[in-house]
Amino acid sequence: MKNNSMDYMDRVHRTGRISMIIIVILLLMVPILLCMQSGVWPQGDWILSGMLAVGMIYLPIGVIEVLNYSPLIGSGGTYLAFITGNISNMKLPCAVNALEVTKTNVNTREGEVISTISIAVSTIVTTVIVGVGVLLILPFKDFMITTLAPISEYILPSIFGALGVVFISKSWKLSIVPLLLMTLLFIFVIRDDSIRAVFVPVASLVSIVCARLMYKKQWV
Amino acid sequence: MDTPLLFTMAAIIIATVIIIAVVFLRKALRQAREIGLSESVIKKTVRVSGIFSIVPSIPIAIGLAAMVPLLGVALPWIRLSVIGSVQYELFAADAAASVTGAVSAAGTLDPAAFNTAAWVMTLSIISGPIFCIFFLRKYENGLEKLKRKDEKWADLLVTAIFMGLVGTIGGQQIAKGGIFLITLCVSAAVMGVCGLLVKKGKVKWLEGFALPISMIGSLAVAFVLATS
Repeated sequence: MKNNSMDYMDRVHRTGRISMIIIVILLLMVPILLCMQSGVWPQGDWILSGMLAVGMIYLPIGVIEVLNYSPLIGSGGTYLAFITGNISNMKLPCAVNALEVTKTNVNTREGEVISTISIAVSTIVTTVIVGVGVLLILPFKDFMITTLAPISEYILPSIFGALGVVFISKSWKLSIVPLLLMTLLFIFVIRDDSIRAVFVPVASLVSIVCARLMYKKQWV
Repeated sequence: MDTPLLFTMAAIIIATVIIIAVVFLRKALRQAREIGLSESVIKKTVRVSGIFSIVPSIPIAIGLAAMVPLLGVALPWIRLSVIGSVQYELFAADAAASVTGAVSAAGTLDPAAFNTAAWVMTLSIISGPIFCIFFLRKYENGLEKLKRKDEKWADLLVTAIFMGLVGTIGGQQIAKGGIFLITLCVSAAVMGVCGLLVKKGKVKWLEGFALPISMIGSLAVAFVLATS
């Protein structure tokens, strides 16, 4: 059974790497083809300014997110989630919920498989919904925005209120420091909402250090 | 902006994403049966994941609609279906447009600015996939060693990392206050009630629907408060 499991992990990494390479090539083809078709290539200083504004923040975040999220969703889930995106607001809570409902641990081979199934299903559902959204955008754009926009900014608290209570009730000691620290930081220091992604790894690191100390002292 | 070429690329990329998801799904389903996971557990995973994913897809479609005036339909469709996130794409599109400063009178970007936005949005998000290609396996092997060395700490580590995310998002919503905080609390309360009904009331079927019910319940309250 162990060999079978190892074979499965080999296949997951091979498929994941091939899929990633295909997606990266396809993605790079988009700006290349756009420039070739229009005959207009962007000025170097524009790209540089854009990369300084966006890349300086998101290039390191991309790596840190893999380090931070892959222990939570396993190998198959990580490849799929990083191909399709929308991780913290969809793929990760989806997999965590599936693991919770099926009472499996991601550190087991069952958990690895459950997480991958969950993220694959989530990817298919989201892609179909966004596709339908595109078809509806042209005729019903105003209706969609006026009807659904009032709730769209509250989706995140609606997910994490429910998931938070499940995990805090199980491991409340581990939740105190990160929750208190981040609440105080968001009240007194951090004013810009859009850079939340920068602080997730910081909070996770603090949380890990606290968990390690509690573990050493046998408080958890 | 919305050229046939770009729509063709969008169709190819989105079809590829679905094919990749189906390949992973088939491999995982086969493995699930080989290791003896019951059909009921597999079906439950598929059901709860499918139902859960409907509501968080809505802001992605809204984000797409919000980007249409500046970037058309095809490029945001590609960008919101692959890597990235709705928050990232809105931020990147806005930042790319502002550095070029080339918004036309019609509110759209000229070709040079549009192409710059496409490059910046693509290049800035590429580090995660590149890291996965070259280093994920090594990193996972390291985690596997840790797991074998101290299983209890490995489990605690996973919970601690997730608490970092819960702390960040929870702290942010608490700090924002108002409807954000009310939504967070209502969702937590509904989940608590669902949990009690499952455990004490033996309402087992509710287990798989507790998260979507909590989300929809709290969003209903948010909708009423936001529109009243």
